[in-house]
Amino acid sequence: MRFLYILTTIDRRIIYALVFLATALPFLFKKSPDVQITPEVERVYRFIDRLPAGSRIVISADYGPSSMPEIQPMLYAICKHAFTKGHKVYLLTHWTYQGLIAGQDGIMSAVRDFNREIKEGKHPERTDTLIEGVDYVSWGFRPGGMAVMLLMNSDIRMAFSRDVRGILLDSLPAMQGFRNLRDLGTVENPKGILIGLEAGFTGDVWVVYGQAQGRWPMALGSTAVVTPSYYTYLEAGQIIGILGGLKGAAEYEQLAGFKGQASIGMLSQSIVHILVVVLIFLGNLGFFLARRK
Amino acid sequence: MFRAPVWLVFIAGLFMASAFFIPVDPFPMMQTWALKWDVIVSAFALVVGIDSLVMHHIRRVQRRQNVLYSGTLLVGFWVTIAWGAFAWWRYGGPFATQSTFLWLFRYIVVPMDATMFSLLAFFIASAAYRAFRARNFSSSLLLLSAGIVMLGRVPFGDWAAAPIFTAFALLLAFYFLRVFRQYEGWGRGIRLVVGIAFLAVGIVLLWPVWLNGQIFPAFRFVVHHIQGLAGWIMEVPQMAARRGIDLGISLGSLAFALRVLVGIERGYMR
Repeated sequence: MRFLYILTTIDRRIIYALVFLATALPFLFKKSPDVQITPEVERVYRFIDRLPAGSRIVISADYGPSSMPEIQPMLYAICKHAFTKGHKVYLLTHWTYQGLIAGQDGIMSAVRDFNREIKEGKHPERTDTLIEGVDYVSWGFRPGGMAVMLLMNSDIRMAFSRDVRGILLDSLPAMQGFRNLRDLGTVENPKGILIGLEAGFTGDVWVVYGQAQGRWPMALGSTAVVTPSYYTYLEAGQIIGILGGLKGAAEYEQLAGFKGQASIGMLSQSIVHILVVVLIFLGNLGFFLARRK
Repeated sequence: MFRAPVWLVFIAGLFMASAFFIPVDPFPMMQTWALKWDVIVSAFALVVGIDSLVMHHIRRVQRRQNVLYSGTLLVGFWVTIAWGAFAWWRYGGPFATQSTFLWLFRYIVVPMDATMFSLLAFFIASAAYRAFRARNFSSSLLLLSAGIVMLGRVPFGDWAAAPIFTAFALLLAFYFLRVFRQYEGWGRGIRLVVGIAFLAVGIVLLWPVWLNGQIFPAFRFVVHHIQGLAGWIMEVPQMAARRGIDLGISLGSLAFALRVLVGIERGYMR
């Protein structure tokens, strides 16, 4: 019984050490376990996969450094998948400079790696490397949130007249024929999709104002904490799918045929989840033993 | 004296709302006009916010209050602006591919922000160990669904779920079967039945019946269905509760917006 009491009164420093080891050690092995694909992630992947080449993937990067480990792999995986299919990627943010730089960093990593793979001959269907303004555009940040979303339903240029480099959108080949978000088509007749990568509640604003008015196809990717709140939109058919947390990103990576940062992080997350549930069990064991006394 | 702002809010609000209900010109045009103003005003609000932040910390430094923290903020603020301006001049833009401005973000902001956020994992683990207790029926239900979702959303969680649930079931059976004698009447009966039910669950999970070529069939059933069960919890009970909360928030927001629009709520003028 004494052993049980020791287990139920663990010092918090020992718990911290256990969490640290459970998080850090798996990264040394760089093992990436297979994850079970959920329908909500598969729907997003299949939707992008079936779009005709040259379709538009608009990504709203509404997150900062604190949620980058969860969301950045989503951005990277979606960009790489889109480039593989020959789609054009457009990036914007509602999170001032944090979202702007996080998004910019993510898309540039995907572009860099994809261009390297082209040179290595891994994409035989493509010989020329990706060019900013032709294959991808970064619109940047505009203050206004909901107002910016609604303006983009009328005319993107009213919200963003230039890209982050200061070049007029009208002069960019990727912007030819792309007037407003309604040009993304509908779920029945898609010409693109808007994907909100969200760490807060900007995704709600996108759905409630932007998508409700424009009716274009939309999906969301979010931190695991925020994900439950987006299931209402999924069930209502307002969004086609959700990438929830690190697992959602790992599922997308697996579907896209590569193992990236999210897949590597899943081993850590698995062990920490199991550790927390075991700790909860021990805590309850102590609770019942104390009540019995 | 205070009528002009109320009328301004009423007209601007009407411009914004009208296009949602009457999507025919001139209403969408009026909405676009209001939205353009919104973006412009938001940009000015950003400037006001920056001014307020900087002045607040300059005053704190002047008064010798938390000089280190306020000083760090001010130095960080000016260094960021100066570096951004330099990157504009040197690389044609702070966000250009080769721009050194991005170093600030990659090597200072990201590690600091990520460190602060990752501390949550340690606190959550410690807090869950100390506070997450099956005190009554509601908290037991919360505990059970949290356990299923946590284990059902990760690889290997399914294999860990079966032994953990078996242990939990036996623990609860042990507890209820020990304490039921201390109660009288219905309380005693309910605790006895609950204890036997948990014991049955524990035994069924561990029962070594050879069924369809499998040992411990119930144990394996948990392993194979935990992920589906976690998905069901997220998509049905969780979503039902969430939708109720969302509807409540939306109705409250609507009522508040109407009060602002018709001038009953004038808190924004103070």
